[in-house]
Amino acid sequence: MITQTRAARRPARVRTRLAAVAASAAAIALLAACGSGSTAGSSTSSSAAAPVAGGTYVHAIEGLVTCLDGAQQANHWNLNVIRQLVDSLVDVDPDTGEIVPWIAESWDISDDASEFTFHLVDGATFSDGTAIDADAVVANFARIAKLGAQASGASPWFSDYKDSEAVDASTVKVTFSRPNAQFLEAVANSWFGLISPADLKVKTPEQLCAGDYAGSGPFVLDNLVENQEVDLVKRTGYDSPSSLAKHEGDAYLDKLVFKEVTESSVRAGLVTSGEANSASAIAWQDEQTVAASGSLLTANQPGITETWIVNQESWLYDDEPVRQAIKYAINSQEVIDTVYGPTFSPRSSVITKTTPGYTDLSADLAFDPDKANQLLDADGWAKGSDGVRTKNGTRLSVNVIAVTTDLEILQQQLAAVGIEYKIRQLDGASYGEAQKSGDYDIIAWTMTRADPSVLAAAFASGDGALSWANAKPSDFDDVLATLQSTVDQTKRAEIAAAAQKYLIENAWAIPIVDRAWTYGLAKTSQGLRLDGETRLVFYDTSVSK
Amino acid sequence: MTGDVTSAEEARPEPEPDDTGRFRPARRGSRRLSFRLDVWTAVLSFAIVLVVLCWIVLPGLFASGSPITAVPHDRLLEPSWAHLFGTDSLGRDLFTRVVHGARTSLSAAGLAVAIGLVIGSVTGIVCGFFGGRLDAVVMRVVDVLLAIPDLLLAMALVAALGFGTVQVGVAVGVSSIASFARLSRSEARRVSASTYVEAARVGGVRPSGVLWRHVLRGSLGPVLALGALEIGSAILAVAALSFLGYGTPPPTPEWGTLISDGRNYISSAWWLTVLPGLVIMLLVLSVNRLSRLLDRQIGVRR
Amino acid sequence: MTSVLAYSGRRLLAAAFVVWAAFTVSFVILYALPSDPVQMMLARGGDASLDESAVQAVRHEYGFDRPVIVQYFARLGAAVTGDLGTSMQTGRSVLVSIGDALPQTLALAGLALAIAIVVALLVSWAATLAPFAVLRELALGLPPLGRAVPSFWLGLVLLQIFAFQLGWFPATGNTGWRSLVLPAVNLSVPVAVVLAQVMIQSFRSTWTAPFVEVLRAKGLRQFRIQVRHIMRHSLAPTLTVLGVVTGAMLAGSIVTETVFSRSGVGQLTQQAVTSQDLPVIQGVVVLSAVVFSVVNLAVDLVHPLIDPRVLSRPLGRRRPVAV
Repeated sequence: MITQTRAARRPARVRTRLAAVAASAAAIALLAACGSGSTAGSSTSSSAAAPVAGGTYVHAIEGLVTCLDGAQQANHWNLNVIRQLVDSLVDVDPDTGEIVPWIAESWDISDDASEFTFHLVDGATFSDGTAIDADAVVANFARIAKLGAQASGASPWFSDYKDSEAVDASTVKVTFSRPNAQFLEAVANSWFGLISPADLKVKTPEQLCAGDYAGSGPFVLDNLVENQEVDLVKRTGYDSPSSLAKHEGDAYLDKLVFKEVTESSVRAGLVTSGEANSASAIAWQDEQTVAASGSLLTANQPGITETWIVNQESWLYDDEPVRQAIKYAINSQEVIDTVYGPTFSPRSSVITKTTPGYTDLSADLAFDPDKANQLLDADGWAKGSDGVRTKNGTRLSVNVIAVTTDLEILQQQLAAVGIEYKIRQLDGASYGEAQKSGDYDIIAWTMTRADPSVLAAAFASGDGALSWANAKPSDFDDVLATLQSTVDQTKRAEIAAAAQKYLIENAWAIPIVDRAWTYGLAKTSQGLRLDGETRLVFYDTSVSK
Repeated sequence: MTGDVTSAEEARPEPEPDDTGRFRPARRGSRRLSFRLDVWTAVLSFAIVLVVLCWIVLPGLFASGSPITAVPHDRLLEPSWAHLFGTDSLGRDLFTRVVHGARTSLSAAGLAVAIGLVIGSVTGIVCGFFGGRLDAVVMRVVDVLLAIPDLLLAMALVAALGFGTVQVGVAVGVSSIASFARLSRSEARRVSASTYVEAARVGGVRPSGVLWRHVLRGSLGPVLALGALEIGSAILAVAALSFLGYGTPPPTPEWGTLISDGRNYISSAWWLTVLPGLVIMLLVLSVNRLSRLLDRQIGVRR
Repeated sequence: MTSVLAYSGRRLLAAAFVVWAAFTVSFVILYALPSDPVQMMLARGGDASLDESAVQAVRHEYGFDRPVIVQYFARLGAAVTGDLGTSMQTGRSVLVSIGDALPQTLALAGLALAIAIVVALLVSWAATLAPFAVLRELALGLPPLGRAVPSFWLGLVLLQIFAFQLGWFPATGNTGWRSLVLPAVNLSVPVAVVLAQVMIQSFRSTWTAPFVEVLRAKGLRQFRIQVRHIMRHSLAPTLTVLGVVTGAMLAGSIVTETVFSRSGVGQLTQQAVTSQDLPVIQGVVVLSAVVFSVVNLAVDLVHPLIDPRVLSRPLGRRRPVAV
């Protein structure tokens, strides 16, 4: 058995990649400071005054909160809220990618990564007073297994779960029927956030989604106004911070308010006017004003890039030339120059540069409209009088569901090679409905996860709740399964590279851009940081005058 | 949209301003002032409407270039001589988009007025002429439709019909049927009660002939005047619905969508929201002004 | 006394009819027209599989597999007992959702109405009774201007100037009176236009009425005549348009709450239409009919107090024709 303590698990290459994240964040902050001429401090904790306890902090998030149970959903802004309500067994260092202790102070993994033994810290409690002991952790894993496909947040990382047992009061052993190499890193996310077993026993999944539970985090839910805001208050008596935390005991903030604001200009306006202490998803055009009155916190998103994934059940999957033509018709740099701004990076693979296991496939992802035209001509699609290609009377038209802001420029790029794309403007809710209906040729999707196993979540066949690609069983499943089960990091990277190559070469996944999250911070915001999965952590945050 | 409450009163000639001057010496200046103002506003309104009509028919004449092709390196430029209204987030000239958008937005408004006018006035005239139970039942339905605000009714229709320019036009049109029905009914009743129509009836002319030749012609004037007034509110209603997101999908320019696209740039690119809205406002002002002129002409002839 | 009771009774019956008819009209529009709400609703839920049996099961649960007539009476029956169905999007009771959203919109509408009345009074006075012709012409030009301005555009302009540039008011949110001001000003414009038109007409006709001549002959000062008598007599026609005005505010709140990102019935409606959440839309339409009827009922009950002649008139249409 390999004993893992605080030793680094990640290869050096990954460490430098994640260090690049921190470097870019600091660079942006410095750039913003220079640009505004002010001394807006760095994006992490202020070096000046000591944090002052108390006060209310307002953060504007970019979407509507739909569920507060991490196991049941994978939506980025929901997870940002949930992160404050529940603790995890381990944490991930954003600078190094190292797995560090949290509720589990140490752990052992079997050689074949099918057994994980966690040794819990003493004295950690849920907000209802129950101890976070082995039985509680077992209860948490058991309920996720019971949820099955409904646990759309946790189940993709939880396949082949066999059972978990409480070896003693502070030791939990989790067993999988097949090796699950990414499980340790997965557990660091709020998908596996710990909830009091008393609530797990009696509350329905809907109630848990509504936040009606006692969590393990430094904040508890105080009030939820639908489509408007979520109010959290400090939990007194909290004493189980992550080893990455900068202090101990209760959180500094008395009250933490998440305002749901879907307009980017309003979010930016809230920060510049001081009504909010920080905001998510600051758009390119607002970056300057926000940086001038405060600072920006930017992090490259790990995981699957903003990608157009082809639905295997659609006609498009059977027509390879068209898929390839779409791939070559897209000009990633133009999308960045038009819509997103320089914090984003051009595409180079189906997972982002900062994800472990990334491999550079930009050679096959170059903008090449001539090649696209050639492929379509050879496939028998002739350009009609209105510019759209037809074959045997059918127009070359793709049905894409997306909520990103780059649709018009992409539409134009496709139209340049004769592909018709009728934009369906969807908001968050209708996008979710369209997702589940399966009625699309392409789904524009992205997922944050600092591990290459994210590929399995999206592209494995079966009833996994995140497989929007509707993959049919094939040899690729074996590749993905091997990715999940390989423990050796180098081999894992090789397999991940092969998987990415397969997806790109077959144009099953057509990446668009590498996303960066940009948060805007007012001067009054101190100590806001991002964890290793680029989620917000408010535990060390305080309000300054 | 919401502004049509007293449209029938508007359709009647307004009391002359002199009525209020009874205890003040009638100032010649005031009469000349209001006359001059009247003429100038009428001329200006006519010019504006003419220009916009030309936009619909020959957009290329007023705005060269494409309204949909993105030019990334020209994005978010302020208004200048090169770009009268500035450029949007994809670098497209906003003035070009407004000019081309006239066709989309105004054809929906036109469809709306056509539906409301034709269906509404036919319903109203038939009811007003024949009276009786048909009249009672239909008018009850009309009363209920008038109890529901126009925009809300249009939105319910959009929810049922789906999103798009045609659907928006139909929805606004159907929601305006009630006002047309009411007005044309009262006009039809007035005309039907007049002596010459009675004479026609007594003289043996078939009801359909009376309806067609006399009642219709007699009621038409005020109905057309209301139609002219309704164009303005139809333009606003169509713009509101497309602003809310129920109009045609991108990249086709549509006035309401242009303004809602500009919302994200409200503090960085003011021209995206302000200028298209100004165009809408000027057009509606002009249309309303001309319709009042038309109305006064009709009122004089009566 | 019986005439008052009979009068009230008839008005109550008429109001009930309007609400029922609005329910029926919205049912016809939303449920009888072609669309497939079931697919949409299913996709919302946590169902991973969408096989035919699941679709049928939900169709049955919501009653979409019954004939339209049966659906109608079932829904009507439920509505009478206060059950307006459940939202297809959130699963919450429509009545509860509307009830939660209503206070915000009421606050907004209340302030908007107050502003509109003040503005309309000022403009109407300036347009009719002011001593300078230039002022009168200018004021007369304001209602047409207010009619022509797109409400959503005005809201954005107000936001830009007063919230983003000057920073006097917050750009969004529902807390505090300060966040209410800009939306209320935005919402008050179409209402002020309607009220101003009514008041201008009324001032003009009252100014020339015989009793005013008598008052002048008695030697009352101009200002006193204007305020105490003319304006008070404009109260009645203003009241008669109140029903339509509240309807206009409900419709206007859809746009205003969207522009200012406020929660309320307007935002609820906008989201419901975007996601084609039919029960909620029907609920709001019924609400608008209820509001319209209640306000008109209140006006009709108050009207005899102002003008007792009303009671003896036959119960015909006393509202302005196009209303």
